[in-house]
Amino acid sequence: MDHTLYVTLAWAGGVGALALLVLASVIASRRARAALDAKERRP
Amino acid sequence: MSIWEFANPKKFLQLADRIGPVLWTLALAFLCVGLSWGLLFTPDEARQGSSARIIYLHVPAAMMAINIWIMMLVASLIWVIRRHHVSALAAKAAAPVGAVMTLIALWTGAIWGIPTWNTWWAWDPRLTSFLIFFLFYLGYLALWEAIEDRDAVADLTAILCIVGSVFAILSRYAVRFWGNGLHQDTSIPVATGGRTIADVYWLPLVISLIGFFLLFLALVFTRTSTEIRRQRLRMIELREARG
Repeated sequence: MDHTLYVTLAWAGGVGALALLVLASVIASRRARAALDAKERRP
Repeated sequence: MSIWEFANPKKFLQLADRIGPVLWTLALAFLCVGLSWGLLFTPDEARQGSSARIIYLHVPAAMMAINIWIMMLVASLIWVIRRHHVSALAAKAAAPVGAVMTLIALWTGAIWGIPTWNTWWAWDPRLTSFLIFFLFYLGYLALWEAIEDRDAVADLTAILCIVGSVFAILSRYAVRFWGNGLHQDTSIPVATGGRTIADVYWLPLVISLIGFFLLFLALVFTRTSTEIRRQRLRMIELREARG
């Protein structure tokens, strides 16, 4: 039973979705922090 | 020190900044060990062959999908009862994580179904209730974006969350309620403790489960902090616009 294709597809989709979620969350966090810092620093 | 202190956005941000890096590091470590152990160092299963390795993504994602909704329910109830904005924002922050977990469970389950059941989809109680559950997540996210008034949208999403919890519970116990579908009952019955999975598969699965849970915590702390900062930014901009 060679199910390599199924395992690859499932793992690529699953790990890829997790990686995208982490990336999007970290980028959004950095942007929000930078925008707020810039606003609060302005006199 | 009371837990309600963290309902103060400033205190919550301080806590998130302090424990965030620890959570991210632990989550990454557990996920790397659990997933690579499961994918690379477990033997083929006797009947399912190598496709059994899908379990290390499918089961943690499905468990988190349901548990995240329950966490959103608790946060929504805290909002409804005590009107703490941080809890409403935490529910909002958790929703995309839950939606992605549900999508991963559906995707990996569909792929797993091809060699196991000879079909990627069936209108089975567990599969159908999980698909409806995914639509609840999408509806919840859409509702947050649809209404401008922050308190009104928090109230409405809390109601949607309470209604959706019925589906969260139905998804969890669908196999037992209707028991005539393709999907098997759980291999890890938490209440009775009598698991039906061999140790060689069980250990990496537990490590993956812990990794998924830690990743969820890290994501929720990060995303809630982002929501708090965005709200603060919006308030400053509104104040500036008013002069």
